Amino acid sequence: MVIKVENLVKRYGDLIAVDHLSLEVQQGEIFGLLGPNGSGKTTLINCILALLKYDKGNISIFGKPMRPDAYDIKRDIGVIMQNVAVFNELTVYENIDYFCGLYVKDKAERKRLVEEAIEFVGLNDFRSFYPKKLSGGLLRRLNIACGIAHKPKLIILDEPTVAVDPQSRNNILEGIVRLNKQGATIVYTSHYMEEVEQICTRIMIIDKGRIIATGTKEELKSMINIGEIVSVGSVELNQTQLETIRRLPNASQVEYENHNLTVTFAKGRSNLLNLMDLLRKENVDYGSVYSQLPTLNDVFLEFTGKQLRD
Amino acid sequence: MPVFRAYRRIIKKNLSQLLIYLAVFIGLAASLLSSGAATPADTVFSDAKVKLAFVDEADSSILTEGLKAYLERYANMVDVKHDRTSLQDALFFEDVDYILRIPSGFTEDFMAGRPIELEKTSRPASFSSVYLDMNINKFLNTARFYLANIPGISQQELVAQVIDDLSVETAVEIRSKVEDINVGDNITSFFNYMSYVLLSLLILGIGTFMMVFNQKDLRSRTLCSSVPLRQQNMQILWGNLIYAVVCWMVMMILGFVMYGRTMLAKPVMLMALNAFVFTLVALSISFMVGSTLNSRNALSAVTNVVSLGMCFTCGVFVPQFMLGEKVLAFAQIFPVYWYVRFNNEIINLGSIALETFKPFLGYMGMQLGIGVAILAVALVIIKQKRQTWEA
Ligand SMILES: Nc1ncnc2c1ncn2[C@@H]1O[C@H](COP(=O)(O)OP(=O)(O)O)[C@@H](O)[C@H]1O
Ligand SMILES: [Mg+2]
Repeated sequence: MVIKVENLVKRYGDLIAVDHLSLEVQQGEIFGLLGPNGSGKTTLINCILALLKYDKGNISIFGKPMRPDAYDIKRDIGVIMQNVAVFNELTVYENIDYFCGLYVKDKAERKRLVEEAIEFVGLNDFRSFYPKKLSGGLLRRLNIACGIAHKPKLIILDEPTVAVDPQSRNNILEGIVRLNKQGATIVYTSHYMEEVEQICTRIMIIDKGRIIATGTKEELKSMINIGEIVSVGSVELNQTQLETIRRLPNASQVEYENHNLTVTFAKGRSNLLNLMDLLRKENVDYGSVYSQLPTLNDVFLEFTGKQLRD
Repeated sequence: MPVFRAYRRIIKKNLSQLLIYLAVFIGLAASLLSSGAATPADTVFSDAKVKLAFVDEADSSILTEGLKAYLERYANMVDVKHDRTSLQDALFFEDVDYILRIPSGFTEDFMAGRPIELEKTSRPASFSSVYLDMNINKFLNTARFYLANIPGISQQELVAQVIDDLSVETAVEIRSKVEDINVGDNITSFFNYMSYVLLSLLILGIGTFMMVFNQKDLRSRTLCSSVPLRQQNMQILWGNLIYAVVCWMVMMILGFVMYGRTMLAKPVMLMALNAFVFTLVALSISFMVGSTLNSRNALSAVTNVVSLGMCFTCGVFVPQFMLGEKVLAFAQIFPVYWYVRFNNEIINLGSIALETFKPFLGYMGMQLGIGVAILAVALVIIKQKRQTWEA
């Protein structure tokens, strides 16, 4: 067991930011913490890192209780904070060297590790740049390099892809998977469900500091009764036809707006086929059709009644 | 020593800013030595006169006109429209280097002895803008001195006196230098001026590092590491101490360059000791400033206010005997007062025996006492600002 959190409560005044939350992260996982902004992800992470005092609960890492002075535990953790934390006065190289130096004393060893980290995040051409001169994406990569240079066994990343261009985003996500393949256990928080689905082996969805659901993405999706969502574009329908569609087997929700039709089906067989048959029978023309499997957003919607992202 | 290493690097990157203050000091010190025409400091700085926009929000009074006339010696006046946008544009396009805004009500407040506030905007410090700061202060402090001592003085008389005074002062200084080769006064001024530059260098250097290092996110991130908190603090402490001692040593080397063997005379060595004590006090002031402020701009403003303010009230630039009783009584809460008093008196002490040296120990003791008090306040502030759980 890498991280064990039991019954954690953290209050800010009257606000309960983390509400009786328990979780376990196993060796070798990429554990995703998914929740909208303000759901308590950062607060939870800061409690785990012993940066914040909490009101109730127990936290242990690598089987030992985590405290501000648990320096032997901290040695094996890599931290990538939500807010980029680098010195504007130091270059890319000097920044990574500083953070690596907080864990590794030996100079030659450190030099090797810093070089490796620069290579890993692809900042070779920017090593003597100051952070102010880096784009948002490159800055995030620097932030990551600073957290992983000392080869930690556990890496905690808090929303490392906020305000990042697609290219850097892919670079970062691939990097995380590579780190995991090299043996690191990962905790990854995000409010982007696509990212979490893409890389995480297990996902916990939280809202208002409480756990909504936990499992692999397949497990999470099987918790809700949505088989697929079919969208039909540029289609002309009258009221009677819409009624017929509503009576299709498994059709749980039908929306028709701006000539676009969206039908949500509960799990069942040949849902798409049934809809297509009906349109053909009614002689209705349409521009496009596509069918989507449910997303984590649908899971979130089902449990909380609101969208993951507004 | 990662924290210490970062300290060194950050100081290095701010070296140019720090060297400006050192250069101002060297300019001042050189003016003590040379016996050339006019104020030598003027010659040092006249090459690069500041482009000054003098913005008088109240309709001009005799006092503000007097100030303006006085500043014309040190700056090139530039006419700019007085609205914010034009002023900002002028600053941006380098049409002006320095904007001095006199708020409405300034003259009444000043004449009534109420606290006043001038608003200053300048591009990052340069030799000439620092020098202009000093001259503005010099004018106002001298004026305040007369205001306090001659009740009912009119604006006209006041301005006349001040301008007269500030021009005479330099003439007198120069004559005395030519006539008697008494190094005493000279080296005393050198040491007195040193308090200004030590304060500026320390507040700016230490303040910069502490502010950078204490940024919330950086600090949390460093707290996540395996370097024990106690060690982090020790590294910061060492960094601060070493920086302070290096600044003091630079001053001493400068002294040797300028005064040679005179530096080894007994009273001068005691002044050096006094300067060392003062350096420690300046360190504690800087520590407090660095742990309370959050912005670079605020830092350079505070550096100016604290160092210039203290030095003027305590008799560094205007001799202590010229300051009013009330001012001097007030000045005693500042370490600079005791530092300057030590220097002024020790040079006149014939022989230095244990008995005669006693009051001087007191002067150093006062400085250290104030330093410790400031340090204590700083530690309380740090504790209250703390947002993280620290073992
Ligand atoms: N220092 C703080 N003081 C008071 N409230 C806070 C503080 N930090 C966070 N919060 C509140 O706690 C809740 C959780 O915030 P946070 O952990 O930052 O969420 P997330 O990281 O998921 O966006 C939010 O409602 C936020 O406003
Ligand atoms: Mg967050």
